[in-house]
Amino acid sequence: MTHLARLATDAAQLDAGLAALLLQAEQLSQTVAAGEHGRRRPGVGDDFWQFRPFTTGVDTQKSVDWRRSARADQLYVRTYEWKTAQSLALSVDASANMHDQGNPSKWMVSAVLATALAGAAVRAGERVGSLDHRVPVGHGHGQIARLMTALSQQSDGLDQGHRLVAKSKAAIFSDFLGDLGSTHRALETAHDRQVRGILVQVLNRDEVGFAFRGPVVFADPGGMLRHETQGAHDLRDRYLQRLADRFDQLDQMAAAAGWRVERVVTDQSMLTAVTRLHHLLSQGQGV
Amino acid sequence: MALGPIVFVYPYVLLALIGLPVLWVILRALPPRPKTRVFAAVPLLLGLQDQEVDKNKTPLWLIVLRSLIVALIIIGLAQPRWAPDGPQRGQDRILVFIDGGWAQANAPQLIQAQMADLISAPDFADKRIAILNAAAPAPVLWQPAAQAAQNLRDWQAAAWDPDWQGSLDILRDTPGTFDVFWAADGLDYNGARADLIQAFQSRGALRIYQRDAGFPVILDVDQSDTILTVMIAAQGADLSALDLRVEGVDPGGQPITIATNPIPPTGRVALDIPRELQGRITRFRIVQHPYVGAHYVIADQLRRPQVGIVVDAAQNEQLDVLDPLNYVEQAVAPYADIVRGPVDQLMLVQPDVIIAADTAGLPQADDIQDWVAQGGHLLRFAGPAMATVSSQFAADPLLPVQLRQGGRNLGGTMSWQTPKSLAEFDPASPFYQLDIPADVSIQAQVLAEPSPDLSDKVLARLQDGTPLVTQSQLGLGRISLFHVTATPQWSNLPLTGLFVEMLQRLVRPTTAGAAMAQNPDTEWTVLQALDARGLLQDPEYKTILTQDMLDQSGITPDAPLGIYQSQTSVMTRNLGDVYPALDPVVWPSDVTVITDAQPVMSVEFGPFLLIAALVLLCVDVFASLLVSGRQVFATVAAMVIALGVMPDPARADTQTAPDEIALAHIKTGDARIDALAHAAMVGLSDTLFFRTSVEPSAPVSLDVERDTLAFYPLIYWPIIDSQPAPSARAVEVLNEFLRSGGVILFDTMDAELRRGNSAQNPKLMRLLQDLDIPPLEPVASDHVLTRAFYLLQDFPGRYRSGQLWAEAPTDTQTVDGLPFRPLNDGVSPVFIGSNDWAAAWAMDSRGEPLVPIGRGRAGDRQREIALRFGVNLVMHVLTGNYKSDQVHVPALLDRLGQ
Repeated sequence: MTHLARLATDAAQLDAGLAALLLQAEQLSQTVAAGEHGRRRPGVGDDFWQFRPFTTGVDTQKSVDWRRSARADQLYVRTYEWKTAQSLALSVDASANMHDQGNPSKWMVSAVLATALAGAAVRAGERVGSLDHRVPVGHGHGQIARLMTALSQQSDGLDQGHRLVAKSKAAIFSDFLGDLGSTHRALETAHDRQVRGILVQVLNRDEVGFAFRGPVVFADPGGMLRHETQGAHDLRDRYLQRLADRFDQLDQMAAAAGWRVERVVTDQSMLTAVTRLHHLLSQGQGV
Repeated sequence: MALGPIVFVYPYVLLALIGLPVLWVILRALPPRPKTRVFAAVPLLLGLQDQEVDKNKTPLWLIVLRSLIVALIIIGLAQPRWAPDGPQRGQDRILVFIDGGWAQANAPQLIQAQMADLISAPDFADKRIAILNAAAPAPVLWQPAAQAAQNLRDWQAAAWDPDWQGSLDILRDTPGTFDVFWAADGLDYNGARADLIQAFQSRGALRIYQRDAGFPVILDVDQSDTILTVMIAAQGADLSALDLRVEGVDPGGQPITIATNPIPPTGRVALDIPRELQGRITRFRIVQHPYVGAHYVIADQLRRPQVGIVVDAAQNEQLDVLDPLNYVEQAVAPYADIVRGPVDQLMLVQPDVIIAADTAGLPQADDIQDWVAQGGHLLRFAGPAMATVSSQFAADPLLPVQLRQGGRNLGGTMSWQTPKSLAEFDPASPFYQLDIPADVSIQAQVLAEPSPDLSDKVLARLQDGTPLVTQSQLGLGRISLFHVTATPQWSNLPLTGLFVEMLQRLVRPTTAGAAMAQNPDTEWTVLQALDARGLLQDPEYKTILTQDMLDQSGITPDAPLGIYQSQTSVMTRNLGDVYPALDPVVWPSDVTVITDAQPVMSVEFGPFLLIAALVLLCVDVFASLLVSGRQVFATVAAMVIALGVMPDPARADTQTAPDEIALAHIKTGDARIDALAHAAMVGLSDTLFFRTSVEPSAPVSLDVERDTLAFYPLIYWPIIDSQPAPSARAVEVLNEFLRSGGVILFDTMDAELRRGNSAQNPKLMRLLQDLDIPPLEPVASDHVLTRAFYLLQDFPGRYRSGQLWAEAPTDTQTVDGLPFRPLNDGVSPVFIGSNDWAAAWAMDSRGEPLVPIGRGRAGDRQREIALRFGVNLVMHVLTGNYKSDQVHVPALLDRLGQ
């Protein structure tokens, strides 16, 4: 309870600083759900689109706009712009790697950012859900609570890419320090379904800075891997080189799928990070 | 082994110091243990090789620290002692010389311990030690220290003086040189120590061990009518500073009289005791000091003897003045209890003395004989009847001598002889030193038949040598005969003071003994002797001692303190008779005297080294952590500081004030109930979180004795029988909690299956009897609890039959036709029920119920209602009479103009 309570509190504070997140969408998924994205064609919506002449057999008399028709000789029908909602699928890596000793942990940062984005999107009338379909995309603030619970479960849903709503948006939070294979496959699937999104790489200060000295045994949080060294400082340059390589690899992978990579360090301001993510998702080029 | 002033008890342990350099090398070679870091990016590190290995070594200061620790431990285990002038400088042989006399019998175990501890100290481990007890000198035997210490512990003090001369003789027979430790009692013994001091100093160093604690003694007891004055003295201590309790005890050991502090500095304790009680006192003692010096023996100086006077039935008609024993009775009455009666009655009484007047023969002669043989004293007076009867008298065993028939008259009209006076008393006579008045004259007497032992039996004679008083032994008792009448018929002796004193000496042997002690030739044997503990014991053997020998000798095994008897008298010998005062010894200035207050000779400082090593070891632990770079150091330091600052660490670690509202329950001590109650609070918190705007943080388990309750608006308290009643402090806290608006939900969890309703649960009543609980009544159907959040009709938990009780409303008003309860803001301080809500509320971390409720769908419904009750209760507690206030809705709507 406290776990979720803190997540809810932090996300709510962060969300309060955000404008409603209207997902940037040059391609809209084919859904019937009403939303805020105008389809630039007549359909179900609130905004006026055009008047067009009454077509017998197609239009009913109820649809005649009598005020406009009175100014002309023929009957006109008022049509509205078809507006649909965009979907945002979220995934947070809840593996042991993400639950580090930091305060906040990488998982907490990821979950807070994801929840904040979800909250902002919901306010804009968009639909949010989890990537693993534990929480199907949907409207309303109830989604947020369900999403929070789902995010804490240990499944990033990267293998569920084929169930993504086509042309929807996605944000995947992880440290991307493990095997990149599943990420690569997920990106390929997403690419096939024309889903665009962001890979948010959340790292902590140790992983970015590697300020270790002396003899150290490095153990991964899962307890599977160990690496022992007598002089950790000596490894720093080589480690940072490998990290940079990993960044490049991820960038290339994302670029190939039309995704963007955003990096967040846990000790940085979360507001800055969420603002960047908000920007990328709302106006980002190529996303 | 000695190293300057430092002595090592186990010097061989020091060999281990050789190993230190090896340790040094090993410590140098071992690098510090690497710290473990959790690091998610390990995959990126795999395969990276260290370029320069072995660059980290243990810092030099850490090696020095560890070597120091090991060195300290080794040296500490060798048990070093600081002994700048220790006895190890002395000779290889030590003689432990103990006074061992009565003065040390006061606290022999302390002296045993002092001397035994002294020589069992490691300083003396390799010395030969002999013990010489001056009270019982025996040839010395040189022993190892341990054995000598064992013998010392077996040593017992004696009841007599040290034998200085015997000790000197032993010493003269002991060759060689040696040091002497002298455990002295602090008395001077008339300078008897001087020779010994000289003898000891000629052999080696002399150390005197003299205890500071003094020993009190009873020197004398004086009697003056009803006032008994006990004279107490103390050696080496101020009397008024001692906690003393002086008792006079009867033969059974029961105290007759008690004198307690403060003892006056003069040592004279005056006790006012009726004569009758005085007679029962056989000795005085000081309770706190059960030893010979604190006991004062009294034989029968204070006793009132019981005197039986034989009355003939035929003489009952006589006038008192004509009573043949009238004069005797008058003489004895001041110091004796008198019983009159015929012989058969007196035999039942068994008096100390039976006095019979002139009778031809005593009835029941066999009984009287037996009584005398067991220690009785038969005192008879002669007279005409006795004189006329002769032949059968010859065999009368109740007469000390055989009498001649007829007796004789002196100075009568038919006689040429003049009345005779008394001859001077023999020194052996109990009448010794009594003054004989000049006008005593004896006109008639009975005469004894001459016999070889006649002169031994005569206690008093006339001037012509004929016996006046004779006495013989019969068994343990005596038979005495006055050869005159007890009336002035035959002599004027009964009219004189001499007669009174003679009777007293016969009836009370100790008065005679006091007199006979004046005679240096009186021969005494020991009747009973005081042992070292102050108890009277029969002597193992009896020696005949003359008074002269007793006066010359101190207290010896042959002449102990106690009760002595001579042929015809009894005497006591107490400490005050031997030592009228206690003289403290004055040691020569060149002798080392060690008292308790002086420090011991050597200081063992090995333990301090080991403690220092332990402290350094702790430092090493922190240092190791520091070297391995962990942050633990700061944490531990902070912890240590915090521990020092916090007044109650046990309390501080259990409770922190919640930053949000939280539910709480009281810990009962039953692990299962507590876990269930906590799960119930979790379940209720979750329910509140999901359904209402109340979003509690994690629930808290409270210990009613220790925790602060004030943070929690609602506390759930399951009642079980095994829970102890809260302490007074906890009751105060609970009352404060209830007064300040807190609410407690008591749950007896028994669905009222027990006797009575839940408010009558005996355990609950015991818990609540100290709490300020208002009058209770069942929760009414219009109670705000039924509509605080949900609309409820009943309040089920795991059971649904139990009644819920709350504070009875003080007064019920009706406002606008609706009942309005102006309660304590609508909230009862306690709710009492029995429905086991914990079971219904309990949920695990996934929100699944822990305890099955009811059956099937209906059970789920019941759980739901139970949760709704919980929500309502929390709402009610938090919002008070908010829902009650809806009675004002019509007025509010009216004011809004709708």
